[in-house]
Amino acid sequence: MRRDGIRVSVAVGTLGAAALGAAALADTATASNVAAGLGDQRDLEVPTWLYLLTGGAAIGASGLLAALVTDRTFVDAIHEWSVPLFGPRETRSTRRFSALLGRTVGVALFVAVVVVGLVGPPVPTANLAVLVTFVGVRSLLPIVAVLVVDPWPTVDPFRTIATAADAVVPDRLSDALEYPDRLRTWPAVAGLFALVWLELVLPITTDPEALALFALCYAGYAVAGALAFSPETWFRHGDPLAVLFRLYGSVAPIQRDDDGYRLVLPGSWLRRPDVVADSSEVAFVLLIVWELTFSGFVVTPPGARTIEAVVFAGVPPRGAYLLALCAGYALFLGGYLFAAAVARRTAPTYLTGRVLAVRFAPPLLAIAAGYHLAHYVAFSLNLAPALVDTVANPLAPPVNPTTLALPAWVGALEVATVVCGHLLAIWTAHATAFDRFPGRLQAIRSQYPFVVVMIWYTVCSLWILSLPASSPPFVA
Amino acid sequence: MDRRAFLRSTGAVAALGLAGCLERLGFEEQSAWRDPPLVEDRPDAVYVPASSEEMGVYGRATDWEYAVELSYTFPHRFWTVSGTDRSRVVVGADDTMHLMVTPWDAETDTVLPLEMRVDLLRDGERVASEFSPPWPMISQRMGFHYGNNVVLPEEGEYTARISVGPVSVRRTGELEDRFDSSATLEIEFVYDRSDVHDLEFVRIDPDRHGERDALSPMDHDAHDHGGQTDTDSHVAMELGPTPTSQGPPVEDLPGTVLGTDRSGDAKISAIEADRDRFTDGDGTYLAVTLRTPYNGVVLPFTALTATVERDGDAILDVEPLVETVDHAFGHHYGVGVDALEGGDEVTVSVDVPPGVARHDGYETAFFEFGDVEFTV
Repeated sequence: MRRDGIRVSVAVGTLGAAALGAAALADTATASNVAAGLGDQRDLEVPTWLYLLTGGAAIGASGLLAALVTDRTFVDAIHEWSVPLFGPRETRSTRRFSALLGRTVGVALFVAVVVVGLVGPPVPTANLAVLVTFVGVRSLLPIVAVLVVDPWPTVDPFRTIATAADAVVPDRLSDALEYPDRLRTWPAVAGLFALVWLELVLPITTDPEALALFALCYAGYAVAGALAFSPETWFRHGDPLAVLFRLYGSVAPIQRDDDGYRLVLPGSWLRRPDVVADSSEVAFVLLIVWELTFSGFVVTPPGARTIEAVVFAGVPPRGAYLLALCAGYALFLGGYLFAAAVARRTAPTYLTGRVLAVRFAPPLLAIAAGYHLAHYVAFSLNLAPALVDTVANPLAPPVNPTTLALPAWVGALEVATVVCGHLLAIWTAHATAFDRFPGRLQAIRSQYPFVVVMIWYTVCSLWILSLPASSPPFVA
Repeated sequence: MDRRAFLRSTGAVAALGLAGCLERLGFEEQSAWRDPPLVEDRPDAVYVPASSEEMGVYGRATDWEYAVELSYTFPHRFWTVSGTDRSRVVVGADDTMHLMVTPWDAETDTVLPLEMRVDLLRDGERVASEFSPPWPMISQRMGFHYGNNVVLPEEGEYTARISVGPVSVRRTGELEDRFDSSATLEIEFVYDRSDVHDLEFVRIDPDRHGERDALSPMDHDAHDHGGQTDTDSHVAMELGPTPTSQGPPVEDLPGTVLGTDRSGDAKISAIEADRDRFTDGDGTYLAVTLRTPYNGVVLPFTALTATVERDGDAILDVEPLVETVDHAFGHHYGVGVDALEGGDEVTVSVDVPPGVARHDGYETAFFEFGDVEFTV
């Protein structure tokens, strides 16, 4: 299995990689890792076709097995099981305290990212800004959101700053605009799209100064959005990070509702109809799935060759990334919408394809969660010591950042997380179908096209995991 | 035990426990710079590496015989050479930085190959014994120097006690009768992480990676002195800038250049000079310089032989050349021979790779040497 690191490693690689890489330093899990410059490579011991076939077959077989579970009471019991974690009274004081603590930590880290990014060490693997952003926020927080509870509303510095700004700015200037309903969550889709592309084409993973400026720009954008409409609206529909974490958080075993926190079975809340509200959020979910695939793909040899081919055809490098991002996204989204349309007929049902697409989108979040773990667990573990060292001493961290070399079983863990994510998705889709359709056969038949799409996603993802990591061409 | 001591010790135990646990699971601490990317498809020749590092200077010292400069940069990878074997030294997780010493003759500004040991002292106690003896090494930006990655326990004041000499190779001209004994010079420095962070790490344009060329040597006048100054500022004034290890231009040497050729990608020049200044007897002194291409950095610690044939008869038969430092010729290899005549064929062989460690860009060159021939 391959995996990654910061090619800061690049830079660090050499020094980074040196540059982290040599730098640092020092590749994909995702582009960001690569950019950081660390990287190592493991060999797959079974033939790729067998490995891919096994993965795909496991998903298909689990679809069949799930189809055998037709007892609605049992399915409901699984998805409705929950235990309140705190009583209302503790919740109130705990909430107030944890909110205050979380906001303070979040804003302090944001300030640290900007300050250390501007004046700290230029080597990415020794710079708190790069490590907190890419190891902390980009890798670890979604892992926490998926495996424990969504921490972002508590720590989100952009929300804290925007809310404070909203309170200070005179009423006649703030909340001046009515958020157009028809915009739904599309601004966040566009925002995430921009983030994915900019992460690849801007030097923010290798140049702490660029990252600091980028963080400031993002904060400015968030404050502007929150002031123009209202913080609640903006962070519900417009802010890509807030939407991203909310969706990741819906997989978690700890969920928040009006009564406080509840312990639920992991992924069981994905059956709820309110997780994904409309088409724009379907697009967002598919973008998460595609983004993880894409950022893994461009740092593999076939991915690099694809980009190079587009560039040699005359497209400028940044345009080539944009083109590849759009084309692959269209393919992923199109495949899913097609499956939803086909499901109308296989079920059969009078529900429209759009309604089915919205209802069956949340299970894809389980797939995204699996991908995220696969792509970022190794990356996070690898750089965890460097992150701890820089947080302990932001302005003068150790000159020679420490990383963890990973044992071979981490590669197996990555494959396991991808497969588990897909199994959970199959089950959730099955449970959703039983929730939505009155007839058992109808529910099972509605799943056929979705299972096919999921097998396709799995095979893509496992294939990428089996490839060696390299640096993304032209932008490194 | 007070609360703080308790917390400290439990913290340490917890950290040890965690580290031990991670180790059992197969995790291993590594430097982020352990093995930075190498240029792909490296030629068996000097090439442009993927990156280079700026260096800072901690200070200089002299006893007016020997002079030394202590400089530092990020810890980095290099290759040691033993006979014809090359082995890669990767950056260890504990390495603090790369320390370098350049030794030279304070009078003639000739960089010297010599015996060296370096002790790093903290409050009078020795640390970082791995540093000694440092490797003689060559790098494109810095030329010939001595260096190694070192482990320092913490930030703070250190003393580098540098023992230099004697110069093990033959000395001639103004250097004759000098450098027979060793000297100990001390340079005090403050290790501050930010000084190292302030150094520039330069990524080379990927289009140039692997190109058959070398980065130009750094200008010793221009580089940053890392917040330190010579303990004695008149030392700096009188010593002048630290010399580079580039040999004097071959065409400026007092003698007749027989020719220059490349072998093992090194630049080999043969010069016919007056014998009496170098060895006993009448005739010619055959001086051979062995230097890196592009930058002309001297390549010490190797063995050369020469054969001179006149009308098919050897007047010099596979005779070893003696490694020498001279005030005018700098570092070279030489031997006395009967007066050369027009038509004489001079063949020079390099029998072992230069015994110097290599930084990126030099590690694939200077291994496979073919004979080079010059005609008088």
